Amino acid sequence: MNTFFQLLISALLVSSLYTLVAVGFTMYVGVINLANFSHGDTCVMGTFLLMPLFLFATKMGWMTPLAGLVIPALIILVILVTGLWGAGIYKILVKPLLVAPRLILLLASVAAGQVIREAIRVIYPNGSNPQVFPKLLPSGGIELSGLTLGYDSLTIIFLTIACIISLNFIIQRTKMGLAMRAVSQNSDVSQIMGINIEKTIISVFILGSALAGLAGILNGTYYGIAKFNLGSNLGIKGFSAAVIGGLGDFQGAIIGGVLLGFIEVFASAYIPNGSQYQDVFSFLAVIAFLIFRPSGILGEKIFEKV
Amino acid sequence: MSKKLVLVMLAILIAATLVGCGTAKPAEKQTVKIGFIGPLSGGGAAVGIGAKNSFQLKVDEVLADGTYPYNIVVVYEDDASDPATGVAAATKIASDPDVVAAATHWNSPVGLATVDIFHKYGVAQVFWGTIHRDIIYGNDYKEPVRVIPTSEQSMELAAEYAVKFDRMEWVIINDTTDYGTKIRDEFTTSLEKRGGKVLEAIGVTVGQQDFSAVITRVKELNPEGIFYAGVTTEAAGVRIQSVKMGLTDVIFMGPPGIQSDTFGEITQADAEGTFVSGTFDVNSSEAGKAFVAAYNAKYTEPFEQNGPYAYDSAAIILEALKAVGPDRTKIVDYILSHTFKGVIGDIQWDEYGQNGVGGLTMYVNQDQKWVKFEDSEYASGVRTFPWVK
Repeated sequence: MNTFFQLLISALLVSSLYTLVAVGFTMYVGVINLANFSHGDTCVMGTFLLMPLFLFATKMGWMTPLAGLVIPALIILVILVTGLWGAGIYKILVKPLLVAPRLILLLASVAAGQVIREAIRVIYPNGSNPQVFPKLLPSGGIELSGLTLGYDSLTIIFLTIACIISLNFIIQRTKMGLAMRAVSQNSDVSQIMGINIEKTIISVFILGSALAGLAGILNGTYYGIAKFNLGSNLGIKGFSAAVIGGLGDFQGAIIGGVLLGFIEVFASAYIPNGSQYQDVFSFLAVIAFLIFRPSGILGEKIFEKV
Repeated sequence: MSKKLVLVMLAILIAATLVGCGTAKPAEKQTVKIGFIGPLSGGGAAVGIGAKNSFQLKVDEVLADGTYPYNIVVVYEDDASDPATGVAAATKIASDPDVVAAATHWNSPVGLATVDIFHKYGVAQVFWGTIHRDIIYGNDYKEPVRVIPTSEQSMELAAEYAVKFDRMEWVIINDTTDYGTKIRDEFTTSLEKRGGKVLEAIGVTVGQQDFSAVITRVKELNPEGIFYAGVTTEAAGVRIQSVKMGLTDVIFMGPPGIQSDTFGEITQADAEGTFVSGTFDVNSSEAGKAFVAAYNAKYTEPFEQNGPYAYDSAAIILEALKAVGPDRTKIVDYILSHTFKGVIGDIQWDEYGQNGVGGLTMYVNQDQKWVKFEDSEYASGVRTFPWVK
């Protein structure tokens, strides 16, 4: 029983990290029907932006008295920078290609991801090697009859839930969210109705990339290791979660992320020799969904009119 | 043509030749290429660059006084710890007719993939890294020799220490590469031979980030020791996450694959008191200390665990080249039939080309550095192990 609960916590944590990536991923698909494959690398960009900032803050001696203030400030700074990066990507890459077939844009996003990855490898000192990521969250945890509840895991799960709630609020209750939903349903009609399409899309890019930055930081701080090439794996996992939940569907991405995390953790634990095949299980799930329910759990069924 | 004219012309010719003799420069030294392959990028780059520097250091030392009969050009290639990249690099080096011998690889899967290539081209391949048995014993090639000890020898030492610390029940977490599974099997054999028991071996993949399910399983099994059969990055991940999940009273040990300073850098305080059944200790001999001094005078990157072996590989290749000239076959025969004096001690091949000695050493992590166990504050009793119950 104990083991089961321990796995449950692990699964929740992995799910949280996947969900954060998947939600960003699905927003691009929802609004401009683009699978943005640079999303995972944007996460890693967040990871690698935070490390030098943290070192700098430590060197300046800000950490000892003010860690509780400086760390959130650094995280917010990185989120802002990755958000700006999202806006930049839109201006430089997406806007000129918006009228081109989506496949072109998809390829461009793959290239953008590659640029981030190689830039980190080349620019960051000793960038090819795994790096130490600072511990931003309180270490230690609560011991409950053999069960370890790490403060860092709890913080990450809590932060993810908070992010999702506020994002849901933005999408459901604000004017910008309304515009996003309208554009995602029919961008031509939205334009006729007076919605500023460009502003809407750019806000999606800012939000999505900011989320990616946060996901990268949380991923780094939990595992304690930062690798320049982690982005492809994170991106694919986020994409898979979005596919399972229903591409383009916000709630679907959450369900997909949670499901993917649970499949990975429980399959590695309960299937003999499962750990070495944990990626296999999650991708098998993706394939199963693609065959039996291609629109995902919450995605709408698309009827093609003949 | 008259006889006289012919004689005059002949005389001029001879004279010219004689004059030529007087002014001719001494013969140019022939330029010979030797190869070096290692992980110069990717996860193993630190080790690869340390080995590359050490190799170059020996070459520079040998060439320094100008008496060496050849100009040496070292061709450096990157295998990125990846068999496919390694095969491409090996083919590039071995197919270059000017290359007479090469020192190669840190990763066993890469070595397994390239022995056939060097054999095909008949180029001597001196391994400064890799510990998989089959690289040397899995074929009857004369080209590969290995300066570094095998994983079998290394795992025997690991098992000896398991017994010494009275930790008989272990869980092995291994990566699923050839290296990881081989280490797993050899540690199991060595431990069981001594009456120990492996409760379970759990496979993980290289690049895996989350080990929570694995560690939960380990907690359930309640072992006395965790042996990580793999390389640094994942070992560090396993260590960090197992401490996080409360597995602090368990001894943690790994093979030479985790004997990198990076392990301590990443795991920080969690590294304290972990073990690696590792390779040669440079501080155990005068030659070793001299190597360290020469290296540090020239390079800032650490030479990592394989530096001394790469240094000796260069010595072997250069000695053979000097003795028999730039002839691939003769160099292969010379290397296999001679013993060499290296910084790691006397290098002596068995009939397959495996070096016997090589200073296998048990290290403990003390303040994020691997320290020879006998010299550590743990052995002297100043510190107590975090895992002592």
